[in-house]
Amino acid sequence: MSPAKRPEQAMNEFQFGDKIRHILNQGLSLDSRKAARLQAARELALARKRPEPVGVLASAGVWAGNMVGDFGGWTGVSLRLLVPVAMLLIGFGAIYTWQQNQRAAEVEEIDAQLLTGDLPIDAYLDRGFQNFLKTRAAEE
Amino acid sequence: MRRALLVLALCMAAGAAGAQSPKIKGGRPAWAELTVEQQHTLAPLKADWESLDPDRRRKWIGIAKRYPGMKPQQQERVQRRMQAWAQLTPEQRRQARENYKRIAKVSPEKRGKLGEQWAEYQALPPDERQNLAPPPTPAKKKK
Repeated sequence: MSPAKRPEQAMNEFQFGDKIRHILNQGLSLDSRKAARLQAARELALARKRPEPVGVLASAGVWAGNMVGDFGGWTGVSLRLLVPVAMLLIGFGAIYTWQQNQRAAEVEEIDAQLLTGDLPIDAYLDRGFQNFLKTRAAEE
Repeated sequence: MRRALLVLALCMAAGAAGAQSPKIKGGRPAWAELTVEQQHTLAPLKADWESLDPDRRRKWIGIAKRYPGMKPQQQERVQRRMQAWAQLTPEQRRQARENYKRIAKVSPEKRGKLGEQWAEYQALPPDERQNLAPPPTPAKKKK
């Protein structure tokens, strides 16, 4: 974001705007020859434009283009919308990957302990032994 | 303008690649793709290797990497238990891990006694052991 404008800069802008307003208020005085040439140029431009197919998709494209235009063109959209979305997706992807890796690492660690520990694996699957340990712990 | 889009596309591609990289990296290493050392360590799993999913293969490769750092007794235990562990159902493995995590929480002093307690439990008469682990009751009997 731009910093707060200085007063003299704001004044310059105001004066500049005022000048433009003056010029616009005066209106455009063109002689008939220039007007005719402008008219001809406009007709020519329109004639060249007309052959373009205007289908549903094209209209949708124009509509979308107009909507997009409000935000500063496609680049504006890409920067204001796509970049944050992309960052978000990348962020989620990274978190997901990290979590998966963490879980895999935890499983590997536990399995390594189970495979090397003093107790046989059967001990961890024996419900009776689990209850036996609980009873013992409660007694102590 | 176009450069911004290109950078964005590259970022997204990199993100997608990053998310997939562990899968690609681990891939589905076939038995033949393992190092000679890994094959030697994981020999008890050779017959089942093709049926293991990529996650489990990666885990076993991880354990094979730890193997050289284990004490001889631990290595012997791994060799002995590996196949039985791999043949458990996923539910059994999950249960065993849960129980392990709970048991591992106790103090080291108590943990040292676990071997004794296991021997003690096994020495109990069968009916007493059965009393400790009543068969799973149907839902209606459960409180």
